[in-house]
Amino acid sequence: MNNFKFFKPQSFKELLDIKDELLSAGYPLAGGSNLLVYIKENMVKSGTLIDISSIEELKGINKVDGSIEIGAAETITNILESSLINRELPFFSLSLKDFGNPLIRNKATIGGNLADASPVADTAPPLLVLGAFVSVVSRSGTRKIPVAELFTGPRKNKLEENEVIQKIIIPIPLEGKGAFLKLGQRKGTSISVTSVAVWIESSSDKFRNIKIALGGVAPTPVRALNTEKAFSGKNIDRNSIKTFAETLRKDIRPISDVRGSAEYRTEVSINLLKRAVYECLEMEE
Amino acid sequence: MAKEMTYIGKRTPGLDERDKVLGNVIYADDFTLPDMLYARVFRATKPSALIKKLNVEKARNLPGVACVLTADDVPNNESISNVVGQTTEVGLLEAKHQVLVKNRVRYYGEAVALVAADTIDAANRALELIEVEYEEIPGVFDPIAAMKPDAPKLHGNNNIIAQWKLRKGNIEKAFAESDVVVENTYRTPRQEHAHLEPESGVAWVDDMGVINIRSATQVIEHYRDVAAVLGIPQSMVRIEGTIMGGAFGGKEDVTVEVFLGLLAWKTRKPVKLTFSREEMGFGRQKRHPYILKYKTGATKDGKLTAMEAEIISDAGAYVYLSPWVLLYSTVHSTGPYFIPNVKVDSFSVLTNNIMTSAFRGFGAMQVAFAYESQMDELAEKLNMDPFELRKKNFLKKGSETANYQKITSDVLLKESVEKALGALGEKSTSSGSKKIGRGFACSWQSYGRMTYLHDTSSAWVGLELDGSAVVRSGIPDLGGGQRESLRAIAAQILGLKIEEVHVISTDSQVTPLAGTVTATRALFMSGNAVKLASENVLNIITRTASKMLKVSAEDLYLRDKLVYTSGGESIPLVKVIKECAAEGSMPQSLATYKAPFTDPIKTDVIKDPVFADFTFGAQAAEVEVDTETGIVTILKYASAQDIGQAINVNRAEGQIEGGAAQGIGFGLMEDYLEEKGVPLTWNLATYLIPTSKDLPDIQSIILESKSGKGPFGAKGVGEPSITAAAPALVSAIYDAVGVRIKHIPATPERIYWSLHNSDT
Ligand SMILES: Cc1cc2nc3c(=O)[nH]c(=O)nc-3n(C[C@H](O)[C@H](O)[C@H](O)COP(=O)(O)OP(=O)(O)OC[C@H]3O[C@@H](n4cnc5c(N)ncnc54)[C@H](O)[C@@H]3O)c2cc1C
Repeated sequence: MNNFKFFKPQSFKELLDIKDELLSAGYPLAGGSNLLVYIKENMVKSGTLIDISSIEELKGINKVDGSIEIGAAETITNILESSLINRELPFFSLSLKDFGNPLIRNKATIGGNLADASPVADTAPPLLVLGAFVSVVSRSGTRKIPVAELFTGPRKNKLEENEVIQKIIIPIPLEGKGAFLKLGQRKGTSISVTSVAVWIESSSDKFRNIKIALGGVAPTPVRALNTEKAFSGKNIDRNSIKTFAETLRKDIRPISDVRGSAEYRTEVSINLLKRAVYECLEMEE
Repeated sequence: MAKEMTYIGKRTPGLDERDKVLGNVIYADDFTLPDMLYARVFRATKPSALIKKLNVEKARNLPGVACVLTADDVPNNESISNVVGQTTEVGLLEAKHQVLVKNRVRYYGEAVALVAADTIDAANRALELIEVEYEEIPGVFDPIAAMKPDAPKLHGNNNIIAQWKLRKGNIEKAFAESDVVVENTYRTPRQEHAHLEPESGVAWVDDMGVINIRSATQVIEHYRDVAAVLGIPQSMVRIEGTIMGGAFGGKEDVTVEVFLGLLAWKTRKPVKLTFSREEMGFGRQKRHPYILKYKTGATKDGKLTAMEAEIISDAGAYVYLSPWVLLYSTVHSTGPYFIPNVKVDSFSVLTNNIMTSAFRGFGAMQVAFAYESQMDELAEKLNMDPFELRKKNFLKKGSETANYQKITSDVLLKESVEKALGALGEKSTSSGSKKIGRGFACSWQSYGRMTYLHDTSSAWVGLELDGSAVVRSGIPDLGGGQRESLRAIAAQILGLKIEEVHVISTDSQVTPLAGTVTATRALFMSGNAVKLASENVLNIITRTASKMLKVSAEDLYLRDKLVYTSGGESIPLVKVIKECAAEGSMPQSLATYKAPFTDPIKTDVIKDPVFADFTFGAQAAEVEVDTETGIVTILKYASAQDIGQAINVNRAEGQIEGGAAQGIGFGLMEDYLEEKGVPLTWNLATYLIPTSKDLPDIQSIILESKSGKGPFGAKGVGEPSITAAAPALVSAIYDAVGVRIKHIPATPERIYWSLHNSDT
């Protein structure tokens, strides 16, 4: 740890200035639940840790113009306990109930989860089906990046070296229902082997505007566009759901590792998708 | 003794429990001394290689570094020990060990050099400055391949380092006459102990020149190993054990002690060494993975006729306790059943995988998965209830085992199964793709060491002038409350309150040596020793009191620091103690308990008693299996163990629950994976153990036959509580979905593919 400097900016401006100065040698430190692991495992060897935990501009959960805006430094626990989210978009907080464990949820932030850009980031699939954006800021200005464009590879994102994520903007859907299913190797403190989020807007007898996203089955969290197309416009009937779900094979490129083989990830993703669709439609399994 | 049970069989909290909860216990790593150095171990990153060049100069020259030691700095770097009982076919075993790698690296993680520095940062930086050049040499990673004559050899010219046999009756004839025969091959995982507290200790040389090592160890007798490596008298090394934050066999072999001894000896400064969690992964031993080929026969009315087995354990790169673990497996391989014809051949084989050694269950656990799965398969073939089949074959008191050993205690297996199954209550109902199933399994497990080792345990008990008592026993406390049980036994016998008894334990130069806290022997051996010593003290008191009260000594008992006659008359204990002192018969006693002794094993065919006694029990589970993901949810769980007599009910239940939890991990998720000797799951993010969310509410059921060889008829519970978990779960999974998992852990993926019949 001797190779690290620690800096706690007192204002948002000071944060942006130091990030502009240090660029990739300056690591925003939010909950530290990824960063400290990387340091311990020698994947990050030196630099300046910039503690962002007390910057007001990165905090708050608000409703603004039909969207929910969540400050990047808000913890998973705060999201789970937010009455605004539980009222306006309960799907999102429900999605995070199996995130890590209570200790991790108290530290882990939504901004850290997205910036970390892990293929198994659990906030990503729900945010993808909701069509969310991140608002990123640097000394030179602010821009909005759709979550769907944020990830460029395992642990790689589109942020410039001087940018930080300020907030996450989730448009509140006017209608529909969502489901998020996470499969791990065990029940507590479990890293997703695969995860599936589904949002279905339809309340009629046909699939309309179905959105599907997955974690753990490609280099980044992904939307399953071919599968969405397979469902789209088709009659809702329980038997065809499994057939449509099979289209996932075209959308995902899982790898084999100690957590599971590519083949297993594929098969259970299809089963989870089917279940998530049932859940959205409130069909008995 | 007090007339009634004041502490034995009760739930009295131990005096250390509050301190554990409040964080007051000074665990090994919590201890520091002024001017202390911090040590780290430089470990090999190849599983099979020769060291061509090792350059530690840069590390030595780094400011803050006190010393860097390599094999050349170790007075006796290599040692050879003969393991008892190995004979003809394999040749007398010469188990070779090296403290630090001299030339050849045999597993990934093997210690190459030691560093001690002013700060942990400097020690870490020194590790980065050590330069090593390897020449990789062919290794062998599969025990079956390692048994072949042309396999690369780890040591000497045979990778098979131990071989044991059971021979009873005539299996060929018996199989031919059997109505049903089942044959299967089972595999069990390489389990990691994953205790909360890492290996840790602090060493210093005192003003008498003695090397003091304060460490978390199950075996304070390792002071002898330190002395042997340094070439100094054993009396110049002292190990003071600490209360441990768990060990499960992981602190049975030498861990930090020899390294610490070397560093303190060389630097003459206090040194601390604590393994990192990652080092606990790749730097130390695991449970042996097993391959078990079983063939079992029965008549159509369910009488077992014959059993044949071939058992192969992966010993990893060094011998450690593998031959003994294998001996346990061999003796326990039949299960708690009477089988008239038995042929077992077992082998322990060296490979370039991480070494394997002691782990709760000690070889009796892997075979339980096999023998119980076989019983279920037989029951299925016979169309018989699995409990009915077992009842027809259970060992009984007086039965003879396949190593011709008579069972001397009660066998409450039938009662255990009834209680465990009964505790599950009403069966839940399946819904959709989620199927419910139930299973149970029985187990037997020895407690106490192998009787040919002539095990003993000593303890000293004495009364202070105010009537309070002091117990001295070398037995370490794993965190399970071993010390507290000794306190309860002395308090019970001497009629004292528990807080009036002080126990000094686990110090090799202060407490009488009591042996190891391993082999489920602590209560059995030290409990008996403390009981003996306490009874001796009681006799001294009653003898003197009888003269003072003019009644016979048998007529007296102690309670609340008073010596009572049966008539209700009493005198204060302190007066009697004073009188004892005046007479010169001090109320104190050093006693040694001797376990039953047998002759050394002479051949690799085991045909004599090996253990003092066994604990019998059963575990039962109800599970829900998700057929679309393979995920298993344990809905209900019960474990019933005849532990003879609970000394403290809370702690006995703690053992039963903990055993079940660790056994569930072994059955469902734990496996330390390596690819060609390179570890893949060396941290707790990838090596998974059950969390509180994975574990059911475990119902602990205590049966008390009072027939054991421990104090008050106690049997052991520490290891027996783990043994039957995996087969019970696998049986429940089978009941739910009709597939039998023969390679544990039964992970979701394994279950999924067994159900969906793919060849991946
Ligand atoms: C035991 C354990 C269990 C876990 N379980 C889960 C789980 O179930 N699901 C899951 O998805 N993850 C899990 N994680 C991973 C981790 O907790 C999450 O990714 C978490 O959301 C990271 O947030 P943080 O605030 O701790 O990030 P940090 O570790 O502080 O930061 C992570 C990365 O993001 C950067 N960063 C942080 N904030 C910003 C910002 N505002 N702008 C730009 N860059 C930023 C940091 O510099 C760093 O590179 C687990 C981790 C652990 C240790």
